[in-house]
Amino acid sequence: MSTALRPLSNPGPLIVGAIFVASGLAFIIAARDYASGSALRMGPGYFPTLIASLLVFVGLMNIASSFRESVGAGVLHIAWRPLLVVSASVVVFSVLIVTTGLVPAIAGLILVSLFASRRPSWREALALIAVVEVICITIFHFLLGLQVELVRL
Amino acid sequence: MDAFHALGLGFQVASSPLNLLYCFIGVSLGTLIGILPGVGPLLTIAMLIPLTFGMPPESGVIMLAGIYYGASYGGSTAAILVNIPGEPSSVVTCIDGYQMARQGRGGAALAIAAIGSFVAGTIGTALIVFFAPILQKWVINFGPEDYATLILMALIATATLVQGSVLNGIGMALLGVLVGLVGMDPMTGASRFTFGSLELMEGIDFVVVAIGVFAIAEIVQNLNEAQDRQNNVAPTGSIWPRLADLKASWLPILRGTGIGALFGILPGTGPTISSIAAYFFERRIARDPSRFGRGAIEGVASAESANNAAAQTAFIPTMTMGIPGSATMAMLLGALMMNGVNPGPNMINERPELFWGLIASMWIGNLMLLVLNLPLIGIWVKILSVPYRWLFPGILVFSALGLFSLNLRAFDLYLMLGFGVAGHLLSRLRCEPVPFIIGIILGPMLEEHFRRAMVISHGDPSVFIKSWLSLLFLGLTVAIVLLMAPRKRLRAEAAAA
Amino acid sequence: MFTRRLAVMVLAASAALTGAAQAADYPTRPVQYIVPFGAGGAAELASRVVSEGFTEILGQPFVIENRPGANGIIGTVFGAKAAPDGYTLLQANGATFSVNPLLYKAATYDPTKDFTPIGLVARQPYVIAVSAGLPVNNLAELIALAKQKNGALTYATGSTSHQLAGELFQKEAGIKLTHVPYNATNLALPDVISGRVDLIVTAAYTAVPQLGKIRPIAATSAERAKLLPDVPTFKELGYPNFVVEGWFGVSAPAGLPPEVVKTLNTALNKHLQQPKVKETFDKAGFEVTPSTPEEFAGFIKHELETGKSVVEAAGIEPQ
Repeated sequence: MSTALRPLSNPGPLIVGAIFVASGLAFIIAARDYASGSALRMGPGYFPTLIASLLVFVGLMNIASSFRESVGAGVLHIAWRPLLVVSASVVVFSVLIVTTGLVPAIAGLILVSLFASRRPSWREALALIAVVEVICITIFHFLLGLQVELVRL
Repeated sequence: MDAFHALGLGFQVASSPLNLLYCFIGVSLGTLIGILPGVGPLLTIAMLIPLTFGMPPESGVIMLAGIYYGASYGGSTAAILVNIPGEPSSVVTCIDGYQMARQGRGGAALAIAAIGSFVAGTIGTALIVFFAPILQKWVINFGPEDYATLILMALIATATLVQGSVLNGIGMALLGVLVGLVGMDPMTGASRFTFGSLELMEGIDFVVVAIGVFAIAEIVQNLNEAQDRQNNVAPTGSIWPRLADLKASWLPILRGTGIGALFGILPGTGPTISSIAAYFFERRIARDPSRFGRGAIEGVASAESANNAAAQTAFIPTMTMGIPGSATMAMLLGALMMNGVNPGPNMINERPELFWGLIASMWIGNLMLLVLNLPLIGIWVKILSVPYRWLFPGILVFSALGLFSLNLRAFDLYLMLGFGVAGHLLSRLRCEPVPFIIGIILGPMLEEHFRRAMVISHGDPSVFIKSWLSLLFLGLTVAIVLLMAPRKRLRAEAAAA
Repeated sequence: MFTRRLAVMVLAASAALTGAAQAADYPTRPVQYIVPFGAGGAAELASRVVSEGFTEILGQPFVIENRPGANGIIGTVFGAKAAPDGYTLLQANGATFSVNPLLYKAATYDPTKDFTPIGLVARQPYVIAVSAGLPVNNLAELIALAKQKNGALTYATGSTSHQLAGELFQKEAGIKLTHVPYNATNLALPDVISGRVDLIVTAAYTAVPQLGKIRPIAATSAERAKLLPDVPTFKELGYPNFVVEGWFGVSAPAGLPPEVVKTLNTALNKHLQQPKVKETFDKAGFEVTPSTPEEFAGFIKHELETGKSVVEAAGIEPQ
């Protein structure tokens, strides 16, 4: 039986390799505007280009290995829902803390993060918010003197 | 004044009720600071310096130094319990420490970390007392070419520590180096990869990436598994270390201390490289290296001892030569200067009570931290037994708030989130965060020393071979690549099949 | 930024205890004092003395805010863009005002236009020192050796204003040296002590503890450094144009009302005259130099011009 090239059955290293190659190339292109200088006087572009080239090389090796091994480690399952929930809650926090202050931002983050579980309970939510608010305000506002308004209306 | 008399004087000074109190305040505050993500000892020390003007200089320095190494203890706690490295030196602790916590053995990990740190602190203090002059000479021997190859070695070593393929590890390390270069180039002033953003010109902070790639990605991952299991990650079993743990740890603690003490003196690179080198060494000589990365207590013991020993010996060049090795050390130096003391070769002679008092208080502070932290373990374990769906919002809030408090701008939070998402996606492809973040820390340093070595040698690359230290590190690097790579690849392939 | 609270409370308390005089209208709330370097650097001492002085005399807390990055450019840009209401001040120094705009494109500010000078605080003499192993004992021998080596001699700097001194040295003496920049002087010292790097430009104060391992050859200031009275100045040795010093001053965004400038300048100079302050600065190797805002403005202009001529002569392009 010939060792047929079956990259699609070994997507992991292929994707990783592609990411490395793409990233490396991106940095090389971005560094093109910077002076490379010589080995004696390395300009800002010298070292990044060097490292990025190595990265491209590693990426190519990954891609090559995906062809060699016929069955490989697959891609692990991506946790879409938790990813979205956590991202949303951080975004909510970031927006709220600069516009409305510390207290609403904490509440917002906690409220959004409750969607991670399948049965969010309002009572639990309120209790959690209360506890976290008290702890955070005590530590960050009173003890450490963080210069963020508690509530900005 | 011989060493024993000097130490005697030191202990006299350090155990005055006032100085004991200040030591206690310092280490407690330091522990709190170390546990909170984002907040660090540098800022805290800066803020408290005015308070020290009213006190005698010994007391002030004792308190500030307490914050410094107290933060290291606190950072280990966060690294082990929630996989958030507070400082570069805690990154390696995360690897096995957090895995132990997930297996319900977080208490044991914390205890061994505390004990290891205390032993390292004790030995470190002794080293300072008896060997400071010798250790000092060791620093002078290091030229930029030696630093460059040492850092390269540490980077490659880190890349091989991963569970998956070493090739991915090297790739992540290289990617980390590139990300670390974002910002203004200190040697030429050119802005690199900043796309006009003023925020990016300051560079991407280690804390932003650490919280993103470790905390956020970990939370997402835990939620993923919790969904499948409908359970929280509850630690069970005894919270104290078993006798087997202690037996397994004592040698790694000693070895870690030795390695940490040696590398800790080197300015800038010291603490990070110490923990990497100690961990790597421990794994290399272990009978069953595959346990590392899955909760091997030796990993925690060696990394923690190394970074505490490094923290102690970092005082040597600062105190004896007036050459601080890090920003925090520079702060302490500044504090001394502002209190009218001039650190340097003369300080030991002019102000023996201050120098030896500080040394003695460092040991006392370590003791206090041990006594403080052990009972706290019980509290931490209780807190962590809270159901995850309640726990993780709390962790998120602390992380976000801690990070936000550094610069008071939302940009940092978005950047952190970006790294978190990327970190999660990459972990699905079996690319791990540790080499990436080590790359961010060590990358700029590697460039700095590499460039400087070339400037001083006037463009002659043979300088890397002419220095015996550099040659040694290069040789070790090659050895690491040759030894670890094929074995890991084979194991990865076998695991996948 | 956080335990800023503690510091503010302490400063406010000390102000209250010393019976501070209250200014009639300005200031009425805490003032931000931007320091464009990390905590613990050379800027630390000057910034603390200044902020404490203002707090004591003007009665409102003047709180230091460190904004490090990009050799001081980040904090300085921030200071330039702040509102000129007197509630944001900036620590200016030789590196950020006289040198960075010439070397870095990223320094988008104009030191003569974008700021309101308040007053000079202190000057700091630099010395050019050689590694103990280098076989030169005075400036003439050093210059001879440099000419002989034709650019192979290396000199270390810990900040861009040291670099200015180094470049001026090359221009005035007609020699070429290889520049080895470091992010901070303390990182340069081991290399100079071990002889890997031949020379270093550094503050006299930093050189003192290292005497024996490094040998100061000449001072770059107009008069001999108090801490190193045996070291001749370049002026004495026949280079009357060669005067470079590190300096610190207080400035504010452009457009500050003149009454506020006057209030601040008066308070600053009053504080600087106190013997305790002079002593603190002396010990650290600084020389207190109070000035009027106009004198400070003129000083900045002069420094910038010196810098320009040096940079042009050396053919350095802004990066």
